[in-house]
Order: sequence, then structure tokens, then C-alpha cells
Amino acid sequence: MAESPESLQVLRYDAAAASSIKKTIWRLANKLGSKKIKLMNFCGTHEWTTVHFGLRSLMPPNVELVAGPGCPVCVTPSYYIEQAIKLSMDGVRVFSFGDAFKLPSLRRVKGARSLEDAKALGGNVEVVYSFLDAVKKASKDGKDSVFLGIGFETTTPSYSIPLYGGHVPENLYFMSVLRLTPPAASYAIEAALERGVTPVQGIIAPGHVSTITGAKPWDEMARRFGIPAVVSGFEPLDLLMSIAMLLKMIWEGEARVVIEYKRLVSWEGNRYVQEVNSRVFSVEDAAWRGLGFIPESGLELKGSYAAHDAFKEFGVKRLSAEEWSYDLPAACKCADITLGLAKPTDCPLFKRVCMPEHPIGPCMVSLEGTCAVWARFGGGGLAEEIAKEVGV
Amino acid sequence: MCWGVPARVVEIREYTAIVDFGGGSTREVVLAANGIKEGDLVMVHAGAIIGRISEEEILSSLELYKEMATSLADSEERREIEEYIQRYKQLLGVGHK
Ligand code: SF4
Repeated sequence: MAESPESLQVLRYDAAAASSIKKTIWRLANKLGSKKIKLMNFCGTHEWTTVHFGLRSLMPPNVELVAGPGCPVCVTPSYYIEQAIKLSMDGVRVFSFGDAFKLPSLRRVKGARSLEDAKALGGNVEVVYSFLDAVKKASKDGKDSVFLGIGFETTTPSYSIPLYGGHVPENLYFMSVLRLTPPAASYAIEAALERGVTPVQGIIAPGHVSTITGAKPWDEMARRFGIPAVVSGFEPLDLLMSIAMLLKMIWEGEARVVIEYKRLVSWEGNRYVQEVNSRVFSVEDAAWRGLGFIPESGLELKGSYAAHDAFKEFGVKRLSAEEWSYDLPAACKCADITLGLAKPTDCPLFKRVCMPEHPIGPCMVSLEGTCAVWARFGGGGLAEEIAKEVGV
Repeated sequence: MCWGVPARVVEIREYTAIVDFGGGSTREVVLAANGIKEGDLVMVHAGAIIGRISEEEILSSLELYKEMATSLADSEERREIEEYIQRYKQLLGVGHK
């Protein structure tokens, strides 16, 4: 998260600038009257910045910041975690990211409810920093291995580039549970409309996902739903400026995308990764934990790259829409939290039984999970305290 | 896992690069963007460089905001906005190619 160069540090610690942007936000909110304005982010890191720097407490009473589907670990179907546990218990080495390692499944498999449990019970699980580390280990020791391939658009190139370049050894198989953000964002907006709750009036689009996709998909979405979007960076001043830009567009009745995160995001995005991804993966309908199937929202290996497909190699069936069933623990509100329809504090288990050290639901695991962020940094209520950090 | 971390590129290899996260902490990561050179400031995500961070573009975001904010602000705030944009300009000028 820390952007080390000085030029980027000012976006975090310039209190005078933050206070000036806050004034602009309040002025714009005033113009919009008392009607509630709901702005939704689609990235766990935006939620982290919002909570860590107390941005909710800086908002005028009629502006609400809500978190949407922004955490790939949170939406990975329980079924795939269970299959990974099973493989590890059968002796196949399963490589995982640190947060997916702790992700609880709904059902126990051979006594284990997570890859962490599986390891403690003798399963073959190894936590790695990246796919590249797994490629190196598997190349060296030649052991049959599976990589649990969780992630959104931002994580795709770490897989597709080594695969495309032929650097992945034959003994390393890939279990793709990759998911795409724009289809889920549309799904969340539609869900709010269907349920008749306050509709989302502005989109804080994910900066790093947009580095890959470009701002284009968000512009399409803005025009389709008639609501503005700003592709935002992750420093507090980035977010505050993006909020001001959104309110200005709402006031003027504009529905298009503006890129605030220009230092990394372009209109077209990373064409090189888009090209490589389109050769390695096909876009398929896919299951999201607690939500069900979302059309064209997942990636699967295609063509000759399917030789690395863990599903094929180990005879693991992919979930079908007919077979999918609701896969969150009873009382867990992760599905509604993911859709921006509930807050962690609406869940009776939040910080009572479900805690970062002992997660019950998937939103409490990763640092990008909304419940984990709120539990660690205090949610909206204590934000005033933390706001002092930016001096506002 | 979904955390973007900026780093400086130390060395370009075949399909990877060595990056420095600061404080001498280096790592080999996948090179997932075109035209990256040694010395570039880049964003690293899940073990891959997803793009180059263009420091000069920070200014264009601020200019975009300034335009919007000054049209709404009173004269005192206009001065405040001018002041911090000026600070950024100076900062970006320092050590900037
Ligand atoms: S607090 Fe735990 S159980 Fe409740 S919604 Fe969050 S992750 Fe689910």
C-alpha cells in the first residue's frame, strides 16, 4: 500500500489539501440537497483506505460510501476450496496465497475446514508469495502440484504470462477460480435496483483492475446505468478527489467515466496483458460465493493451455449453475456485504464470534475483505480518531 | 494478495524483472507490461508488474481537480487550492526527469 516516492507520499499526508477537498465535497453535497447519495467502491483496497483514513467520518450526512464486490478471496466458492483441501489430503501439493490458505470452506473435508487445517492434519499445502515462486519450486523438484488460482483482473498476468511463454513445468497444474470485476459490479447495481434500496449513484472504479482493463468497461457501465464513475487511486487524497468528481458529475447529471488515477490507468488499459489473457483464457459463466452464477464473469484455461488444467488432470468437476447451492455459513452476511446491501455491523457474528484470528465467513479473512478491514480498523464509527492521521 | 505495491525496477530479465520495494527488499516478479525499463517506478500486484507509474500524471489529476474545485470555491479557498497544487508542482520538479 505504501507508495514510497515522495511525490506519492503527499497524496497521503497533505492535510491542507485534504481539508480543502473536504470543503469542495461538502459544498457539492449541499447543492444536492438532503437526498441520500450512495457511492460504491469495487476494490478492497479502496475500502481499506476509506476505513483506515476515516474517510466516512469526513463525508456530509447525505453522502454514504459503500463497499461492493472487491475481494476475490471473499467470492471464491466454497466448493473449490473443498476440492483444493481434498487434493492436498490426497498428497498432491497445493500452492496457495496466504489469505486463501486461511479461507474457511462451508463443509469439512477429511476433518479440515481450510487449507490451513489441512496442512495441520498432514495435507500437502504450501503458501507462496506468487505463481512465479510456485513455477520455480515445481520446476526444480518435479512434484505434481496444483496452484489455487484466485484473483481478479489484476492477478491474471502473473498466471497468463508464464503460461503463454511456456515457462510453467508440466507437473504444475492450475485451478482457475479467476473472476472478472465489471460483470460483478453490474450485478451489484442491479441487485440494489431489484430490492428497491437506495440505488448506487456513483461508482468508485478500481484503480488496479482498470490498469489492466482500461477505463472503458466502466464508461460502458456508467452509460448503461446512467450513473457516473471515477477510476480512483488508493491514497486518501485520490479517493477524496474522486468523491468530489463524482458529486460534481451527479450534480450536473453526467453519466460517464473520469480517470483520476492517471499515473497508472489509461482508457485502453494494458493491451499486452489483454492480448496474452485472450490467448490463454476463455471467458465463462462462473459461480461467486454466496451469490451464485454471474454470466461471463470467470476465466478458464483454453486451447493448448488446458494441458495445465487442474480440473482435467485430477478429474475435479467444475460447478454448474444447477449444482451450485448457497455456500455461506448460517447468519453470515457476506453476500449482502459484497453487494453493498449490508454492513459488517449488520451481522450478528461480527467481532463476537467471527474475528480476523478466527474467521467464520470469507469476508473476515483477507485484508481486502470488508469485515476484516472493519474489524481491524474500526469501521465508520471510530474513523474520527484515525482521521487525525491525515490531519482533517 | 490483491495489494498493489510500488517498486523500482532494478533489472530486466527474460519474462521477469528484479524490483526493489525500498529498504533493499528486492524480489523477482513477472514482467506484465510493455516498455518497462530499469529505474522505472512500477506497480507490483500479486508478483507481477502491471504498469509503470507516471509521476508526472499526478499533476494532471490535480489539475483536473483544481479546475473543478476552483469553479466552486470562494476566493480564500481558491488561494488554498493554488497553494497545494503549487507545492505538488515543486515536489514533482525535485529529482524529476
Ligand atoms: S462478520 Fe463474519 S460471519 Fe459476519 S458477514 Fe462478516 S465474515 Fe460473514
